[in-house]
Amino acid sequence: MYLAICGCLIAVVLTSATCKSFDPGARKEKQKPVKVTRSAIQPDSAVVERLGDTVCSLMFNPRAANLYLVNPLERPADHNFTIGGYKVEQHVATLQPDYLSTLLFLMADSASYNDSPMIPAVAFMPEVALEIPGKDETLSVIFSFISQQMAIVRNGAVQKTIRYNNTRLFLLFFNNILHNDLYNKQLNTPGK
Amino acid sequence: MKKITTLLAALLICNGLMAGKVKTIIVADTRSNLRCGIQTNVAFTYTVLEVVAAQLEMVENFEPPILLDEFRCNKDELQRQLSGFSCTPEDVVLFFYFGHGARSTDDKSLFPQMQLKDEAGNFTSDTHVPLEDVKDILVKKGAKFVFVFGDCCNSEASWLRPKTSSLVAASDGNSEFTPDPRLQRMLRQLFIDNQGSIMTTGSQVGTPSYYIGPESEGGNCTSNHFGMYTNAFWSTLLINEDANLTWEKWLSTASQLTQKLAQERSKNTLKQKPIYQIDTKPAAPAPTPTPKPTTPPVTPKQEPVPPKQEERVKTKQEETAPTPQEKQEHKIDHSLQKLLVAIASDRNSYEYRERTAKSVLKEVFAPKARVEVIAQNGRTIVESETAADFLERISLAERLRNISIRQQEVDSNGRTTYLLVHEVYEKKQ
Repeated sequence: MYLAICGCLIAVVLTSATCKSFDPGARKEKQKPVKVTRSAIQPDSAVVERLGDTVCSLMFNPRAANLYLVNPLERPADHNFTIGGYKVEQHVATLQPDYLSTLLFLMADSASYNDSPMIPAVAFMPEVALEIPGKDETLSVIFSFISQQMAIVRNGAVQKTIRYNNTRLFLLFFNNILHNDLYNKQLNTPGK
Repeated sequence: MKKITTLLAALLICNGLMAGKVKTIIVADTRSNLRCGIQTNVAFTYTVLEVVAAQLEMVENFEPPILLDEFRCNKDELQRQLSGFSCTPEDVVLFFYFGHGARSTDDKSLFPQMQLKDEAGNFTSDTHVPLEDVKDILVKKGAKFVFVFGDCCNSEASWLRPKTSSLVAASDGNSEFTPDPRLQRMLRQLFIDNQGSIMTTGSQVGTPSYYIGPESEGGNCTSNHFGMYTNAFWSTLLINEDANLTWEKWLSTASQLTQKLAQERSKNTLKQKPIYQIDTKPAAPAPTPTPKPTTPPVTPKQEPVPPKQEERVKTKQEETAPTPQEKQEHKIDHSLQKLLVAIASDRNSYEYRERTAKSVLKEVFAPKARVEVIAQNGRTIVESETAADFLERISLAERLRNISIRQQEVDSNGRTTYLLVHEVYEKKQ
């Protein structure tokens, strides 16, 4: 009799343990949602091929970036005050990675780059420059909104010029900081 | 090509025009990223005019056009040309600009500013020249009819300040040509029976104009690369079958065609709408045209083109204070110089350079022609070679930015037998 009771108890305990292992609550404990940070924004392979490993490494792992206004018409000989040869007019802001991630989201998508043979008939006239300091090298990207082009600047010189799509989004990203009347007009936004 | 010839020949041979000259200025920024499309635009415009002139007996009426391209495409050069430009009340002036453009946010004109550079190759706000200024200057020169055409962007730039500033050479010809009376009537109505001015440009205020170019920067140029508006503009004339074509209809059709082309080529993602301003009125009755001489057409041998071009080059040399050595130059063929620069330019495709070199060798040089290259000091001969070797070498050259002809000798057939040239290379960075 005693043995039978013990057997029943053991069976109940085992059943209970087995059932617990299928408890949904237990599953949640095992598969906790991962915490996604800006580091998840990484370029697709076509972007890496287009920009190169070094540029991507600098661009997509920023600690911060400086936003400058540059003068498209002035290219002084004194390179201390230039980016890509263009005169720096003003240091507008230091962008933290969380704000920067919006831009990097666009830059990481190969569809943001324009390979269309239709070229706007206006010169490359950059208005803003983004300076991304890295450990060993500083990368700069200058944007010419009027010609829908950006240029990658390394070692003080323009390395390559790239036409971009998503013109509205790129302009909006910068105009959130600059609040420029002309950009407001082009974006058809009332401004702030 | 025959149709082009017929149309433009009819355009230019109209009786009323015979009293005046047809003067054309083409400003083409062939050093920009639009170079492929611009080359085609220039070729389309230039070649057609040249072929037409060759078909016509219009040596007296058809002035060599002025082409400002490559390093001559700058504001200073344009100003020089416009300052020295003169015309009579009977003249027709055609001005074409192919290149970059923009506008100030405060510009009152509907038309853009041409994005020219200075002689050193730099952009400044001051080197931007409103297209409307060109029209105003040309109108003030007193021409009967001024046509100003821009194929450039009209996008707004905050950094640009508002502003309220060489025709393609044509050769004479002696070919048989019978103008089509219907076309003559139409073209007469367009060009002769009007006086005033017309301006047109590739896009509306605040919007870009587009060129079709190679998909990658530095790609090879082909005839499939062109400015959307220039292509639509000329095509509209060529396909027109309306004997009563008016400027309004021509430009409105070209504008619609441009919009359609832009939509098709961009898969409905881009828009481009050309604009125009017509300010003309019926011309006063033309004086009775001088009867055309009944003498047979002048053949190229009797009155070859080069001397006419030579006069133009000499004028420029005088303006730019030539060295004593340059003063001794004679029989310099300016169009040959342009061709040599085109062959030497590594911005053009090798295919284009090779093809042009072969064509120049065949058409321009005598069989045993020699070319000598002179050093910067103007005395030392650094290279002496056959024309074939010379053309092959420059067609493969890199960073060869300019070739100037210092001396040219031609035989009795007008073929070049000797050239003395100076080559300018860009320094390695």
